[in-house]
Amino acid sequence: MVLDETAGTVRRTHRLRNADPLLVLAVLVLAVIAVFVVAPGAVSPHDPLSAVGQSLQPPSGRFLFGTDYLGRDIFSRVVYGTRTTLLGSLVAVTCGLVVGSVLGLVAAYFGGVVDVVVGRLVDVLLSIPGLLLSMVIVVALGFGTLNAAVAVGASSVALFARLMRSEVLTVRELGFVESSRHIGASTTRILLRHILPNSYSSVLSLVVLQFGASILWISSLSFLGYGAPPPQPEWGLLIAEGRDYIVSSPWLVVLPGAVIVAMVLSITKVSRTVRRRYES
Amino acid sequence: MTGAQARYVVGRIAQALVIVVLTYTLVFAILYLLPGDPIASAVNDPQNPLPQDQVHVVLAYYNLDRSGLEQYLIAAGRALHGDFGYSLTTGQPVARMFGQALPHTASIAALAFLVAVVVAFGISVLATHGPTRGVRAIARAVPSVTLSVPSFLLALVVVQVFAFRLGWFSPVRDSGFKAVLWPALVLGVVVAPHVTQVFVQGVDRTQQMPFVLVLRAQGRSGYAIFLRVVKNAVLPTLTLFSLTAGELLAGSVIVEVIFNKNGIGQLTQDAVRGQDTPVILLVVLFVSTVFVTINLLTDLVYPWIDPRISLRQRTRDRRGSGRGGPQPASGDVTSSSGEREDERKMASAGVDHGA
Amino acid sequence: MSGTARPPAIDVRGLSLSYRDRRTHERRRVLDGVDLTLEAGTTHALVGQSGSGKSTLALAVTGLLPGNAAVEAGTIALQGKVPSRRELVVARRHVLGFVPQDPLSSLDPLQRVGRQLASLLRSRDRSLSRAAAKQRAVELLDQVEIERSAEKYDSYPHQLSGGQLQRVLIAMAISGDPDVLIADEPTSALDVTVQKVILDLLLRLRSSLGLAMLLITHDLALAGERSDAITVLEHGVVRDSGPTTDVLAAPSAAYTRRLLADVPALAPDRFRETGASSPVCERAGDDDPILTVRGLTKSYHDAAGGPNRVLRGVDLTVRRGSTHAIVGESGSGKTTIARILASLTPYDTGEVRFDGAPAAGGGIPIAGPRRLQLISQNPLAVLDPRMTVRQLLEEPLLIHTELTRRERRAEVTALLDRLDLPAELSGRRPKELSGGQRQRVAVGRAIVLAPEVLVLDEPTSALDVSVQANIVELLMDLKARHGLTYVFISHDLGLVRQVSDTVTVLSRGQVVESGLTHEVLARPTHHYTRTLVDSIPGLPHTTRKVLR
Repeated sequence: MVLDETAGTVRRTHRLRNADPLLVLAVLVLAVIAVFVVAPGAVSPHDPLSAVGQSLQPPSGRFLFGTDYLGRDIFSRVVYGTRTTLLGSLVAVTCGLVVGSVLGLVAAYFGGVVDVVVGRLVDVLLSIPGLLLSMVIVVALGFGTLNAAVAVGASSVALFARLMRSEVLTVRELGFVESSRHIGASTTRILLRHILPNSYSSVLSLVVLQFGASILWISSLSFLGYGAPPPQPEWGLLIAEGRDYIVSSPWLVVLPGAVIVAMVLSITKVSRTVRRRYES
Repeated sequence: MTGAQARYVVGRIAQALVIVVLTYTLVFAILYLLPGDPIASAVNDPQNPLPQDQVHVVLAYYNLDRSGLEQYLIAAGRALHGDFGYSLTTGQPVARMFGQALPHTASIAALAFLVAVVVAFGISVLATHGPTRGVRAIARAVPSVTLSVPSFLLALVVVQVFAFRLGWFSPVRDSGFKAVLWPALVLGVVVAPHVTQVFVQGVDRTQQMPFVLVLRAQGRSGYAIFLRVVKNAVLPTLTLFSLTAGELLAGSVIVEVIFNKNGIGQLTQDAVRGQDTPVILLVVLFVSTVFVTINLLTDLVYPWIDPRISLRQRTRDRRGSGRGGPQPASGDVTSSSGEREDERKMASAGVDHGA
Repeated sequence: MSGTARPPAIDVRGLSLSYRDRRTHERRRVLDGVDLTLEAGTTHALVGQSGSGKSTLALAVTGLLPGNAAVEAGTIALQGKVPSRRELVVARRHVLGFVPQDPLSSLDPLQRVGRQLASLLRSRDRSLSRAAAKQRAVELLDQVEIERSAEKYDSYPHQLSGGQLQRVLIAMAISGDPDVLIADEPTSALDVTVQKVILDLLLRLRSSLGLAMLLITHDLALAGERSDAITVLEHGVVRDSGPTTDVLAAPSAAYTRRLLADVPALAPDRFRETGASSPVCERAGDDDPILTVRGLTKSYHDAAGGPNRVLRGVDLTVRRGSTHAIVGESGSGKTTIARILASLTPYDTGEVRFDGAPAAGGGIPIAGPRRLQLISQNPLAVLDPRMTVRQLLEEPLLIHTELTRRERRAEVTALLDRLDLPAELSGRRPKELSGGQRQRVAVGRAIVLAPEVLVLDEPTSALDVSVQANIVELLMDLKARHGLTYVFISHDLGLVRQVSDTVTVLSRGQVVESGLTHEVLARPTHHYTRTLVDSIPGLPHTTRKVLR
């Protein structure tokens, strides 16, 4: 027992020493971001919505990211904006995943006319670049954080549908599925025990990647002014607001931008590691 | 061309037309048939700059008293004749506004495409044939880093550094080539990563193929082998052509807004802000048509580039794998499903990031 | 130059080599103090199973080792001289000819084969004009006996068969007028009859051009038939070496002796005692058949849209308790028969009777999973990668029996024992098993429900000979114990001779010959069967006696 435990510790420390430093960094970034989401009040030093100092202050110990043209603390606004942006991405990915997976599964399962109809819909959706499609949907739904998120989700439906469909079709043709059918397994068993477990891993990795993409996408929409209305802190909007002062106060753009980049990079890194683990 | 090939080509063109028509229909439905009366409310919005005398003209033109289906049929019939209606914010014919904006975007997008090709090729060569392991590792990381940078951030930083700090160009006053160069650079860098990723994968895969070992065993020069590898690796990137074109057009919204260009991107941005649905409809129709056309051309030209693909082959493949890439004709069941696997991986890598 | 004074073409001395794992960075020794001398103008066979390091040695000689390989000790001399890096590149152009393993992917798929050959010629001699290069290339294609060479010059690789592609590659290998040929498993990807033709060609060219040849192979019988000297490699260590006749007549290493015993072609009677052929089955009579097939046809629609007739009226009779072999090359339709018997593929016309009852058709299996099971060639493909060995073996029981969890566990444990699989493997997944272990698990899944008939589709063709011998032993043992009937599909006549009572020879979807195995193989009446029998590699009679 004792021996076992020390062996475990040794192995764990060994693994830690061997761990990819970039991966460790990525996990740290995501952990910090998670704190921003869960308890923004605990982290942010100031009220994000009211002026707490002079306007356009450069970064300092008191104002980590400086202040904006109204004297609001940028760091606090970034912290509070995290939740809006990430919730938006979560909504977007959920929409895309649920609707897309169902469409893809239905197409692959029923085949025939259903497959053709879904296939054409996917072709149509894919023929419009995602950003443009989400702009169309935002026009129809109206501006706002939730609407922007739904628009982004709707635009990623085709990606999920296509992946799910091809994944199911590929796995269905694999030898072990046929082997189980040959052994006499029922359709339900084959679907639940063999096809789904073997196709979800690549869907899962698309989910993670699409989460990162949605952050960028939603930020772009809110940068263009279709997301959260102005007093709200939201990542893309913060940068849009800073844009007019970029000559004198570049940190208004650069520092919130750096947070977005760090976040998306970390997600990419983690998703890639997860995928590699799955494959080996 | 044999009969079967001709049938395939005709069928493929018909399929492309169907997609364009369906796209028009879908976007029309989204924009016009949602609850409320989008045109009337947009035109009657007190903030709308449209002069009062034009309001009635526009409202009359759009036949708002008809049913949704009738509106659609009228609009579609007019669109067939090149009449895309009137802007709800300026009262001008949409087609004319679009025609004025198009050259700006076309020149930026064309140059950006060149930039993307050069960047993708350069990074790929560094990633696969770089002089040291460090260089290769860094080059390999470039596409995913670029994908993580929002395009508006990149554009703003370029403006800040090169226009305001260094004074190399002016985002407001410039004209001619200089006015196109900087936005095109940004746009090219933004769309390059997908091509880079697929190309690097292609090189990696090709280098694992036994024929490369055979070439080395024959004592061929490194350059001769490199050329053969590149030729094989470049094929899958051709299927990204349409995707890249779509990204260039969509990306021009952000870039034109930041660089103050009056192209289709700016037009789209103004239209979305002003809920100017006829303009949006035409923009989407145009972009989708470009995408579908390039896709069609890639499909039809592919057999001439890759001897393993025959025109008829692809009808079946498309049914099998959706919007698929190429698939060699030779080989038995196992190897072709292996190819399909590869293709699928490439496709999912191709969608790594959307924006 | 006189023959005796020539230095050895290749002289490997004390070569030790290791690979660094790209992820864990651990070094793994693949060659350990290897000596090998290829005398000028002779054929030297390098024999070993997968993982023995034989291909690595070929790469080391040609200087094509991957970046993570490191030579730790030893030297490789070419024609009496250890070449520098630069000299090695020159040697690859003018001294060494390389014939690769897999002809299908060893040519650039995007370039016409003739142009690849011509561009190789022009890469050696810049002064060669395009026309002259083309003319020389066609001559070379003639030399490797490609029919209609001028026409084939303009073919793309995917338009040629494996044998034709290997001829093109041989033409490339001899185009630089080399002194040494290195052939790395030159025929293992080809059909048996093509294998023989290609080997004949290689050896003919070797002697007419006076080359030395390093022939790398996993097939000891083939090496014995075709080489002057032999080196046997196991796990990077030389187990045996010397003149071929000596090594095979009196193998000094236990490893070589075992290898010799495991090659089916060299031990035709190996499984006679373990039940391959019980006295009951000595007659080919039709009494008590468990499977009868009459006039079976099947067509697929090929890419061009035309029908591709895979089976054109096949008749088969399999007697209860016997092993019936179906022999044929790729494209003969043998796998299609296996799939039809297992009800995985429908057939067009004909009749299939299982145990006297005609097949019902309409998606109802010919024989239910509890009566007939299929074992296929590639166990990795048919085992769900996410399941453990225990789950895989348990699945049929879960579906077909009412056993409790505890009973199933006991059953699986007993099964593991019967399969000769250590119990600690039960938690592993297919990827963590060796090829032989995977096939054992696949066999276990098939026999756990105690079926009467097993259809075995090339069950061992992906395995090394020793592993193959173990699996065949297991199968024969199971058959004797449970009175199973086997339909044994194979391209390997040596193996078929060992295990089967009766045989059906299939060529392009038609039965060309059938009957008792020993009669058909001893006195083939159809020329196709004769070609097949001739292509079984064999040894001089003396060696065979020593083995007994």
